[in-house]
This record gives sequence, C-alpha cells and structure tokens, in this order.
Amino acid sequence: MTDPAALLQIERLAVRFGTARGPVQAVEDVSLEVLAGECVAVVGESGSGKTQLLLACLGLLAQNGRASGSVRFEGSELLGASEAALNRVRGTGIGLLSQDPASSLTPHLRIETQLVELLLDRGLASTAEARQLAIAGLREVEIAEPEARLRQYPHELSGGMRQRVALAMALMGRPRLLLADEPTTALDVSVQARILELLARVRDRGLALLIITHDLGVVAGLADRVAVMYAGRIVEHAPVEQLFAAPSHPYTAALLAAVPRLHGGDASGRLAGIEGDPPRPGETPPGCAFAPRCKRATTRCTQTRPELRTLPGASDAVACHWPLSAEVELA
Amino acid sequence: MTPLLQVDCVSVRYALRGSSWVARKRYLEALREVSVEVPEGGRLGIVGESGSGKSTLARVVLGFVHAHAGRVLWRGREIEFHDRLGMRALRREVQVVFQDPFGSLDPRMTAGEAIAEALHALAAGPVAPREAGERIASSLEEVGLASALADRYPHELSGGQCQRVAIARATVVRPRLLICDEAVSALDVSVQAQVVNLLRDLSERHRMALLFISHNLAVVRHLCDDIAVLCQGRLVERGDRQRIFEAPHEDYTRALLAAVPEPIVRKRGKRG
Repeated sequence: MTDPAALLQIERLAVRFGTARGPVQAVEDVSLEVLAGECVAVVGESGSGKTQLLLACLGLLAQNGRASGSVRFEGSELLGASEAALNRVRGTGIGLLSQDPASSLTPHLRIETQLVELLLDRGLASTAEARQLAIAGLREVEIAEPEARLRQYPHELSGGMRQRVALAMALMGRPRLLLADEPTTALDVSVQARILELLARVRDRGLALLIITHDLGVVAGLADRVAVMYAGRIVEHAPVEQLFAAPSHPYTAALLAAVPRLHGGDASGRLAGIEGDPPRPGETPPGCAFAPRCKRATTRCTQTRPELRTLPGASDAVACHWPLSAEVELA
Repeated sequence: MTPLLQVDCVSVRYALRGSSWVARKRYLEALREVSVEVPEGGRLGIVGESGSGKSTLARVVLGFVHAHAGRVLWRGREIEFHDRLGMRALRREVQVVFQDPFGSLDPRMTAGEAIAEALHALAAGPVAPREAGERIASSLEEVGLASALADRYPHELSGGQCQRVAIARATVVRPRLLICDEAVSALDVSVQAQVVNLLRDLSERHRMALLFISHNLAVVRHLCDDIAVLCQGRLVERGDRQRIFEAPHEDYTRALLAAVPEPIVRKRGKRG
C-alpha cells in the first residue's frame, strides 16, 4: 500500500508533555508531507517545537511526551506503532542524523564495531561482508583511509569526521528518507560546508530529506520547500524561492531581516532584530503567538488565532490575518 | 596614539597530557607570536575556527592563561598579571561576557543581585546603597530590561534576557574594554540581532572598546571595524572590515568566507 508520491505524511500532529506545572503543548496541528526525492526544511527558533516534531515521527519522544494525530511512512501509521514495527522503519526506512555526533556514536567502541554491529543487527550484511560494507559506507561520505578510521574510537576523530561517520551510519540501511536535526549546528563553518555538500549529493541521488534547522543559510542551499514554525505551529509553508523572495508571514520576513549578512546591505547599520522573545512552550498567548512581537498586529491578532490557509492564487500557505503578500494583490 | 590594548607577539602553549618528567614535554602551540591591538573605543573582531586560538587570546588578556612569550600592554604599559592589586584595578577596565548566558550567572542570585555584586566588587571605593540602587537600575535600563526583571532568577529569564543581565553586570562599572567570547553565538537569530545592536550602542555611547570573538563572520561584519583572522594559533590576516570582506588577501580567509551558508536562494538545475 505504498504511495510513491507521499513518502512521509504528517497530519494534524500534536505533541504534549505532562510536566509538574501542568501539560505543555510543544507541537500543535502540524501537517506536512515529504514526497519521494524531495528536501523539506522545518525552520524555527529554540522552543518552536521543531525537534519534538521530528522525534514524534520516530516514536522517540521522552517518557512524558504524548503525540496525537497521524504520521504515516509509505502508508503505514507510525504513531502508536509497536516498538518492533518502529524498529523495522528506523534505520532502513528512515535514517536519522542528529545534531550532536557524539550522541549517535558509542564512546567506548571502535568505529568498526559500531558499523558492523549496525549492519548485522539490521540484517543488512553477513559477518563475512560486513567489514567491506562498512568501508564502502565510509568511502561514500568521503572519508579518507576508511580502514584506519575503523580502528579508531569516536574521541580520536574530529567533530566533522564524527558527523560524517554518523551520516554513513544513517545511510547504511539504505533508507528512503533521512531526517536531519540541526546537522551542522555544532560544527565549524568549513566543516559545515562539507557536510552540506554531502547532504546535497545524497539529495541529488534521490533520497528524500527532512531537515530541521534554525539556520536560513542551510535552508537556502538545500531545501525545495520550507515550513516555518513558531511556538509549536507552522506559520508559513512555501517553496524555497518564494519564501526567500516574498515571505508572507511577518515572522518569516522579520527572521530573514534579522540574519546578519556577509555581503551587501549596510554593514555599519543596525541589524533588524525582532523585539521581545519567542514565547516559552506552555506560555503561548491566545490568538496569534507572534502578535506580541509583530508590528502589524491588531486586536484581532491577539484574540483570534489565524489558521494556516492558502492565499488565492499563491503557492504558499500562511497563518496570518494580515499576510504581507496579500497587500500586493490588493494594491 | 597609544592603543588601549596591545597584544605583542604573544605565544601560548599548553602542556599535553601524558607528558611526564621522564619523557620530553610535548606542547600544543595554542598561539604563535600573535599581535593585535584595540584602540580606545575601537571594535576588533577575532574570527577563526575551533582550535584557532581565539578564546586563548581572550584568556591571555584576562590573565587566565599565562603567555610563555610576548607581552600584553594596557595603555602602553605591560600588564603585570601577578600583581594582584594592579589586576584588581584592571578588572574595572576590562570585563568579559561569555557564550552561555545561563552558565555565567549564579542560579541563586536574582538579576539585580548579580549586578550589585559586580558593582560592589569592582567599584573603586564603597558604593552607598542609594547610589548602588540607581546605578543598577540605570544599567538594567541601558541593556533594555524592565526594572521588574531585577527580582527574577536566571531560570525565570529567557536566554536573551540572561545575556543582557550578563552584559549589564559586565558594564555596570563602565569598563574601557569588553571582551565578548562567542557572546551571541548561543542566541536565536531574532534575539541575536538585538544583542548585537545593544553591544554596538553601548560601545558607541560610552566609547567602550570591544574585543569580539566569534566564529560567525556575518555577525562580526556587522559589529567590528577591524578584523583579525586566526588559524591554528597564527594570525593569518588583519585589516579593516571592508578590506577583509571584500578583498581578503589570504586563501584561508577566502575559504572561510566561502564556507558560510548564506540565506540566498540560487537557481538550481532540475534534479532527476
């Protein structure tokens, strides 16, 4: 029952945590699709719920977390699926690359032991061929002298090398979809650029990608479509060119303006920061969550929450009572 | 004119673990003959990748790390890091803000108490309670925090608010130089921009010099007049902002600039 078009289908996903101070809603009413071979980015600041969204997809929420709604991978439901069913998908259907390569590698095992264990565990190789496959996997992410790396422990590798080993591990099960959570945040710029190149190559080979990031630079270079999250909800969802050229949500526009640039603009001028702070999870105001920081906000914004809707004649969806692109149409 | 701060041919090495008195000591050269200077009120950005020695440079100036060669001069006079009385006076003039906004505040102290502590510890003489109250209030106001936040503990503040408290704490005694070691790196983009603007305003208003250390070249471009590029402990290139960003001399600087992912969408070919 696989639909080749929609590889991953997230529908009305909500994630809620039970805490000592009462329930905290981390993700609310998120619907998102990743088609085969497509790269979708979810952008948001800390506390926007982007990481919980990804963890919910893989059934990896913390003990006190509950997900509701639906997450289907190749047609089969993942929410509420048994651990056994999830384990069949994890690794071989969906690969995961996390922010901190140290957390995806076991510190006291040699790289070889970890890769071989993974291959045998998932039934991807026989004992005889596992080592050769591990070497091939490392070569694929352009690791020089893979044989020498196999003998090393994670702490003997640089951060960039560890992230490449982690990427090799994520790709080893030949997944159809790779989930990447802030894959470059912990790395230096030059190392970051190499990882982004590798991800772009993986994408060009037809692997679908869902990237979670706060870095609009990463989004611009990699994604086909972008969902912007704020306070647990998607506030704008658009093709990447459109999002950067003509953002509809005031938050997206403000975020783009706040990024310091390497070129152009007035380097000696002030940066366009957004006043105030994003709301903390569990303290989201009624109405539009961005209203307290928004220059365009009216009483309607503080009272009624805008639903995510597609503007007439536009290819993007926006959750705003006064979207920026609507003005152009009215004028 | 004598610069405010002069780092003159400073070298720092760390003894590597595992070297004993029997074996010859092995060292990691963290800084090799690095010279930079900051004029009064100037803003110098130090950029480089991890391991380039940028934080070590800050630590040398603060006296946390001993330079095995070279000198650090303050208003033309060599800083005697072992002179405790002299260092106390220097602390009034050189302050620092670190990366982690929560980690640099005492969790058991309110924002107001944290600033008061710095004021009493660093002021030249005793500060009368009334004057202290006024100075704390004005420093809070200056960093853009409502006076109501003075009674909050760090865990009740957002990351951006914590970093503002750290800045208020560092600037309440009106230092001449503020060292910022990745001070905006942990903040979200929207908040980062506010804090960058704040540092710039404080620097301009009080003619306070900045030694701004960051791996984020775009932030440095918006804040600093001069930029020094470090690579593996060596000073690779130094120049004013415009020259470094528009006509870098060194390949390393060019590569560093080219590696930054920019939020610009370039047309991509259709993919199969």
